[in-house]
Amino acid sequence: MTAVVSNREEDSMNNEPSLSGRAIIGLIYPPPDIRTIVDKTARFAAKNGVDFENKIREKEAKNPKFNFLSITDPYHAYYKKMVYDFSEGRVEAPKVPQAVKEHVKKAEFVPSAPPPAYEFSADPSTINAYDLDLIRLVALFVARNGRQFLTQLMTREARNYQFDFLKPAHCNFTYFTKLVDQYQKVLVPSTNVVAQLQDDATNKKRLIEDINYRVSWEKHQKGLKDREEAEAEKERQAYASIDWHDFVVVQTVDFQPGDTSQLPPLCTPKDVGARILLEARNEMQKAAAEMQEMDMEESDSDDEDAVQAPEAPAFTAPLPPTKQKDVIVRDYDPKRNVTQKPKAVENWIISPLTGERIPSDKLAEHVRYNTVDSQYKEDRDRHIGERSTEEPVLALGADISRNLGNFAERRTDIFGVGGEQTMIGKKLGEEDNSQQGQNKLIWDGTEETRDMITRAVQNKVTLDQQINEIHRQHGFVADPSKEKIGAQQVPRHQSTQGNVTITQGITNIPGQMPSGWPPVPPMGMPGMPNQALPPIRQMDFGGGPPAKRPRTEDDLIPEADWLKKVNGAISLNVHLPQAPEHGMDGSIVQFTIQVTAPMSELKQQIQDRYGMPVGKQKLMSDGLFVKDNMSSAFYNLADRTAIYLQVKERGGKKK
Amino acid sequence: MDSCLETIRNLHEERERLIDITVKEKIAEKLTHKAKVNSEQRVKTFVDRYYSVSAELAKFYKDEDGSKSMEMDSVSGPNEFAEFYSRLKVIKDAHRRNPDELAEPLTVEFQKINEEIINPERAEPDMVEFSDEEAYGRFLDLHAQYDKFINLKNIKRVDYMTYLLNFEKFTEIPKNTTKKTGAYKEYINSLKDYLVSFMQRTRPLHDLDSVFSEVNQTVERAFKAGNLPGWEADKNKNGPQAAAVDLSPYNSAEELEGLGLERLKGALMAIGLKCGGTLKERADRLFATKGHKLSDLEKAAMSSNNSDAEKQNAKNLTLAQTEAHIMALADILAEERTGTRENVERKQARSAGEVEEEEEEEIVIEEEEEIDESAPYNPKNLPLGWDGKPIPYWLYKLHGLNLSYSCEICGNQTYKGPKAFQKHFNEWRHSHGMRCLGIPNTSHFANITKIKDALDLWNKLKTEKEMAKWNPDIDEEYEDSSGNVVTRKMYEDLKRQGLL
Repeated sequence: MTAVVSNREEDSMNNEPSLSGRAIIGLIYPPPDIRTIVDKTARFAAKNGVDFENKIREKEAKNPKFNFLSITDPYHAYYKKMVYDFSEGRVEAPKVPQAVKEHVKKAEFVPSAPPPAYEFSADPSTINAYDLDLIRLVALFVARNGRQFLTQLMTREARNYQFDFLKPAHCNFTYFTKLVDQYQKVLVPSTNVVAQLQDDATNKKRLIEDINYRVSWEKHQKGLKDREEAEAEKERQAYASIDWHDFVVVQTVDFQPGDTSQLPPLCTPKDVGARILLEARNEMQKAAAEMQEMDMEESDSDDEDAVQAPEAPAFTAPLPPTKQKDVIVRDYDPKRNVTQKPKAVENWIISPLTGERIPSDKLAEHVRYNTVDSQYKEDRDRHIGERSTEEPVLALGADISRNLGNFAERRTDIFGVGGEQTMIGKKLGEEDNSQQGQNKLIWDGTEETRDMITRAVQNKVTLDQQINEIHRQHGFVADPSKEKIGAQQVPRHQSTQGNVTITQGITNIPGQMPSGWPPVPPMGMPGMPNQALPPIRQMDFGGGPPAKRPRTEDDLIPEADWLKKVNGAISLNVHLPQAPEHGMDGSIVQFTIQVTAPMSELKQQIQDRYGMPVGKQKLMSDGLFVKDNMSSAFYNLADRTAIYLQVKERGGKKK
Repeated sequence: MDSCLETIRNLHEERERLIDITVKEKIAEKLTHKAKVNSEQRVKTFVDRYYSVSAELAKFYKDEDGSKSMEMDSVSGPNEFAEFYSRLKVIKDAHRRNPDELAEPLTVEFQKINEEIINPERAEPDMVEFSDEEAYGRFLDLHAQYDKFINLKNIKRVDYMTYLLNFEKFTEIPKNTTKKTGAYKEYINSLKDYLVSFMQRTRPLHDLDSVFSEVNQTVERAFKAGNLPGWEADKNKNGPQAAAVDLSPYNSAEELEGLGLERLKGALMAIGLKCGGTLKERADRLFATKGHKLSDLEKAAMSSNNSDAEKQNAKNLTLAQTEAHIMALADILAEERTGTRENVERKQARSAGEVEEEEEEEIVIEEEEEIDESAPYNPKNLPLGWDGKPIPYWLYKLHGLNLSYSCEICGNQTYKGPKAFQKHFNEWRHSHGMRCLGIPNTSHFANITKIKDALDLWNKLKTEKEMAKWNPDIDEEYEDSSGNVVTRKMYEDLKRQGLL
């Protein structure tokens, strides 16, 4: 009943202050570290009552962490609320904030000593079962009987190769030694080994603690190693990042020769880099110290729990190299020594015996040599003679440059520039002469080149020139009109058929030399000019000038222009073919039509006279097949123009 | 060899190697959750082996049978070389019988284990059994306990998510109506068993015995003091009603019956007597104490009531301790609880996927049913497809199989669908019919099914063919002298008349 009464009193007492605090001040939550203490104290106060609270207040009166117990403290309201909550049972277990957990983790245990080493773990070099058993057996006996047994065994088995592991040089000797130590521990164990083993078998926490200690030690070692490597890497990076080009010459200081001892020792560029890094690190340490002071000012309570970070190791610059004792020489001039050397003056004397220049101090020897040995003089003369004979063979210095010049002139492939390199063996300046020579073919008078030059000359002469020469030989040059007529005959033969020409010739000249006409030679031969003249004269009588080449309708004169020349009716000479079925014997018949009439009228007259149907008639004039709907003027037909009649064959086949 | 000293040395080596391999296992990198769980299991295996080896080694050092001291005496002494060479002979004989034997020292065994540990990407086997819901130790699976919970008496129904959030808050459960039942005891025991099993599978190194012993002490202390949360309402509730009744004004048991059953019950409880029975029995029992001290009362009534109270207290203490164990385990497994709630919420959000999965299951069921059937259901007499089932009706109509065509030349044969009808003109039946009619089966007669039509077309074709033959009177050409081209017949007629 007493407990119940006290609980009631406590509840009534706690309700009023918390409510008043909440209404007046508002709830202020303390920092994590103080909050932990407040929660614990509130829990105990709720459990043990007001007496416990008063006792704590008296005990911790001077502790600033427990200021929340006084009513004037800003955290007192939070304390009252927690006491009320704990008494009501709302808060069952304290929930540690995440920040506090993280803070505790930072202050974890750091192993300070390495764990005990493994005593019974040894690795042999071989896994041969027999060898391992033998080593173990020997190790057991040696551990039991001592060194004496080992010595006697080695003496007995000196020649047995299986016992080589007893020698220090063997790879399994270390394994054997460790086995001996292990067996000694087994034979003479410590006094508490039994109790210790029983404790290991039952107590589980000891093993877990040992394993966790080893794990943390391994992690600690790895962390240290990583930190050292990181520092080395940072050092290397910092040194590599120094920009040596930032250094400039500020001032030059001259020292007197006597001031050498007062100067600091010499240093290398590496030492300069190290010194710069040292200064930078000192500045960083100062900044860190200032920040640390600020942190301490902000929160004093952190100082107790926080584990101070290990201070950076003091950097000691490497010792400078040994002091050099060089002497500085001023006004050093390397040329002065050379000029100061004394130059010896030698006197030369011309020998009266040989005529050579000889030093004066060696004149005595020279005279002695020449007077004593007569063979020497003969040898000298012969030597001089041989040397004189060789001189004409070698070229002089002046000749060499001239020879090189001549050589360069001809070897343009080596010494030439640009296009000249392609001409091998040609001298500079000869190019123009060779080109001029090509233009003229001058005979040199020899029999060998006579025919060649003749052919070359003939090739260059044009065809016209040859004709003029031939005509000049035969006397045709005086008559240009005849020459013109001769040129006109050639295209005529090319444009018409041979049969027509033969028929025409026979018809025009019936009475003159009938037997000599068939073997008419080709025109244009200069050897027979007389035979070509008669046909030309006959042609002039026939009509206008004939066409020189195959004609097309485009070459015809327009019909309107042609009508201005020719008017009225014209008579046409129609050459009939050999067609017995139509009563035609190849003769020439005249027909008269109007120049403006279509050609169908001419065909109608032919049909009326000979009975040949109009559809079978084919008329040709100057190589052109005329059309029925065209007029004579269109085809430029004049009076007495020759027209050739042919038979139109069906089926397109020619008989 | 059976050397006692060698065995002792080997056990020492094994102990140290086990510690070393355990340290390496803890330091090694683990990529997945499964690797972490398996690593814990391996560490437990090593630790258990360490304990057994230590126990065995302790037994050897005790040397109860004296084998260790006997061997030590035999190895030492004046005949050490004789003993040495006799043992050497035994070794040689053993190895001569088994020349290819390979030594398996602890070095090789632990080296293999170390190689497996160093490789972080090795395949992880299933070392312990977990349900699909647990995802190899990542989540809890409390569905069975949830079913038991919602079936308890006077329990407000909650969903699984809420249960996961509040299952360790036992103060909210009614004490007198729910916690006194046997189902509640069964429920909390099953919940504790599951949590302990989960802990052993995921955290085998966690020492639950020490945790439970501490919790038991705390709960027992609080329970006896009467201020344990959830179990303190007994005395407070009965306090006001437990006032004793002054028996001076009453002269007989009949007068006490007027107080009522509850009043009499309270009075009897106040003085520690039995409080059960009818109204008359209670009144008689209470009136019997008038004028007497408590020590003179019947011991049977007193002891029975007290023993009942003690039994109830012991039972309540056991339940309270079990509840405390569950609370401790819930705190240790807080991370898994949070993960489980997130996982359940994630699964509930994937309703669309679940629907698809259900549909897939239905399809599978349907397929199984269809396979069992021997004759397919085909009322429309549809043709069967490649899988032995009728083709769809829309496909049946698409191909025009519902249309029929008959051919008289083929003997009034009926064909389904235009494709088959067109194809039959080149088949043997139609060709045979045409051959009987004396008509060649050429492309002229395509699409003709009537015999009369075929014969008419055949006659027409024959007539046209005769007209196309060479007829000299009509096709031969003659030309007169005028060039006119006339036929031979006309030429002869004109010639006969003398017009040429």
